[in-house]
Amino acid sequence: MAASGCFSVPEAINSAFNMQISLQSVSKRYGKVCALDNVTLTLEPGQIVSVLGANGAGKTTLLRCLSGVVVPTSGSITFDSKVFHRRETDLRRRLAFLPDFPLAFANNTVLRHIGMVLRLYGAAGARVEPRVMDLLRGFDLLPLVDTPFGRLSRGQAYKTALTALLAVDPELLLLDEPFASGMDPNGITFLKREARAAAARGRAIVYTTQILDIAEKLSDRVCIIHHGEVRHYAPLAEVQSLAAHPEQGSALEQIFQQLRGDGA
Amino acid sequence: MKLKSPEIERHLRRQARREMRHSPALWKEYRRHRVRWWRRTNWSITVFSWGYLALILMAGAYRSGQLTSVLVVLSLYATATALTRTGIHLTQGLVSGDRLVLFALPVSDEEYLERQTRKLYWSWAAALVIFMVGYGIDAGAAHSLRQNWVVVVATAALQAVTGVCLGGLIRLYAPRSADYRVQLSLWGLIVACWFLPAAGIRNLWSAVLLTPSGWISHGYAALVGRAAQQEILLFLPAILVAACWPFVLPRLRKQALTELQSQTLDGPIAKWVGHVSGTVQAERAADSFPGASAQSGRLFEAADWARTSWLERLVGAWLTNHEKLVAEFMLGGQLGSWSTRWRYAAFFTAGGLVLTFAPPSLPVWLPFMPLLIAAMSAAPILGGYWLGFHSPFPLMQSVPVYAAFPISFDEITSVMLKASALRTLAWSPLFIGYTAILGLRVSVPFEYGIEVGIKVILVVMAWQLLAVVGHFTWNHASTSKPMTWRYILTVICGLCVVGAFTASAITMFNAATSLFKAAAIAGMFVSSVTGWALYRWRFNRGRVDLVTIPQAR
Repeated sequence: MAASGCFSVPEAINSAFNMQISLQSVSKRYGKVCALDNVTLTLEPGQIVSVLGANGAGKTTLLRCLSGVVVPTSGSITFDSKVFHRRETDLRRRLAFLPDFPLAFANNTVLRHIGMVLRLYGAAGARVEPRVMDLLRGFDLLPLVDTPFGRLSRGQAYKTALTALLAVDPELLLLDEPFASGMDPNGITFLKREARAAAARGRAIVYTTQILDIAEKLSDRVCIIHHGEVRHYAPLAEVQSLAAHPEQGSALEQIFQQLRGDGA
Repeated sequence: MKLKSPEIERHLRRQARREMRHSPALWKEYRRHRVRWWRRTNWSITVFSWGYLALILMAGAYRSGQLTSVLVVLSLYATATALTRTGIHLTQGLVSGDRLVLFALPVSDEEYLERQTRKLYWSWAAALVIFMVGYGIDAGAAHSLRQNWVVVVATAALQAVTGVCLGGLIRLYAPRSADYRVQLSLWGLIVACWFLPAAGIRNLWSAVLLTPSGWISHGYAALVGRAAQQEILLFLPAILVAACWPFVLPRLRKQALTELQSQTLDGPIAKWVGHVSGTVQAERAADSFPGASAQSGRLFEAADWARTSWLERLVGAWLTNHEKLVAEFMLGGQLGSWSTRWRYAAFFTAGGLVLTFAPPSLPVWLPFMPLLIAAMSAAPILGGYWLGFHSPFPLMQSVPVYAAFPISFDEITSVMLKASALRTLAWSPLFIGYTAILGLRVSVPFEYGIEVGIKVILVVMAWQLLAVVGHFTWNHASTSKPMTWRYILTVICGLCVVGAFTASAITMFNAATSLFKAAAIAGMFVSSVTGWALYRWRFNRGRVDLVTIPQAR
């Protein structure tokens, strides 16, 4: 389904997506610390999933496991029933991970970085250019096209990295704290619009955040992690209904308070 | 694996520029932000690399009467560069910013390895040019370049291939020999070639036979008729080393791939991520700074100086309570390393003393090496290592740690000076005693050795204020346009101060009368104080930004 009010997506990358991503009993330990504890969940295409949790709960580890950047201590991750390993570059080309601190070669300009990412994902070509231009315009990056990455502010750097990955239009987009990345309000609004459009095209987007207001507006599903365990993984409305007093303000906030009160 | 996409880049640039030209505001913004390619290039590395080429050239010109000096320098350079390039490949090839950037992208380990190997080959291509120029100068100085140009090119090529292979062998079988101290000694020796007397060069010419690069240079000398014809045979073992490459390369690939495949973000890469995101510094700070971790129950507890080693205790006794706090902060948990370094220096000094009494047939420069290593270990020649000056964000805009805390320029200066003064004084008996005995070895009076030792100590002492300024300037820069009259004036003042210091130091060593010597010593201290005071004036008036906007890497 094409997103309304959005730019056209190159045919080559606008094929139908229905990739199923599953985590089966995934655990990850860093020494004595258990960052993820027996996590089992399935990601559906065309959904935006917000991952919520206190600092150190295991949100980033979940995204790193999904991207192959870290290897689970136990359990497995499957993409369309195929076990995912870091060495599977074909599978990795179908997903993109953007850490909270964007990483790039400091002397590469914005355009060079975008070109590099497109090439690595096999998405380089004339048909992707209008899309890149739209994204550059949307993120206000046009005047920075010849500026080296190392000279960008954190927000600009994040927007550049995001532009490259959104231009690739992967089936699964993993974003670590995109709303605490220093992006300006225009960038945040544009990202939200893009995320919705991408989900409408069948892409799955998983992002971590601490801002519950955003999660309540930009989620199809919510995943709440507490001490490495997935406490809730359900559609937003279902999670909201778990709040003790839904009439008294933010439901997610109340759930968080409940988790804290549990002292778990 | 090609990372650049010039075509798409060109198309996109053209489109972007066309669009921006319609909007004067956007075009103005674009022109304000764009950085041309020559400003994105890291010229310091280029200048440094080619500086060595210049050194070889100048060594050849300077010692035109002793042609072997060029070959000695070339041999030392070839070995040093093989170790350095191997070291870089070891440390940065597998765990580096490149790896970190590409880790989250769909790049296979094989592709990454191929890229790193290609980078290694390119770096050796630059070395090949240096070898060709070096051997060319040698042949040119002997007026035989026209006849021997094939020999020059072939020798340079063999030197480069042997270097690659030597590096590979070291990487596989003796990675520890690429230790930075060995590398530094070799780089130091190259510079020392300028000052060594003819006998020293002759000794070194024999000493380089310990290395494959030396075999090649000796073989070359024999080929061009400047050494015994039998030395041509030395090419054979060098060719054997070079011929190992087809066998070494697959093993290297296998070993590197195993290492790469075992990497995850929780391995060495994690350290890099930590550095990038600042978490490593934060953890280190939490562990070491006075406000220690809550888990250990030592929250806000100061470090116990009384329980540290003797030199730290001595410095602690001289510092006020507040200065101790500043020192702990600036040291970031490095308490204890001064005494350890002094012990290393004592060890090297003792080893050097043994060498001093070694048979006179040994090269005369040999006993100087422990002296140099001991000085680098114990003396705060560059002001010492202070973590507080470092930045937690090395890849982006960097701000030194101290800048975010209420610590003044004077407080840091005072702590550094006291620590450096005591460290220098603690090191001085070792150094002066050594120079005195070394004097006997080089047939100068015992008192002369002592005098030289005292003079060097005075230079180190006087230098400390400028070293403090050096630390402050390390992570700072003017973020405004550099070429203003103020900037130019500051650079001129800086050069004048360093020039005055150097002139005073040279005068102190050469002055005939005590009056001149005293004046030169005063000149050193005055120029050092002036430099520090001028910088302090600029710093305290807010003329210095405490941030570095990194140029292209």
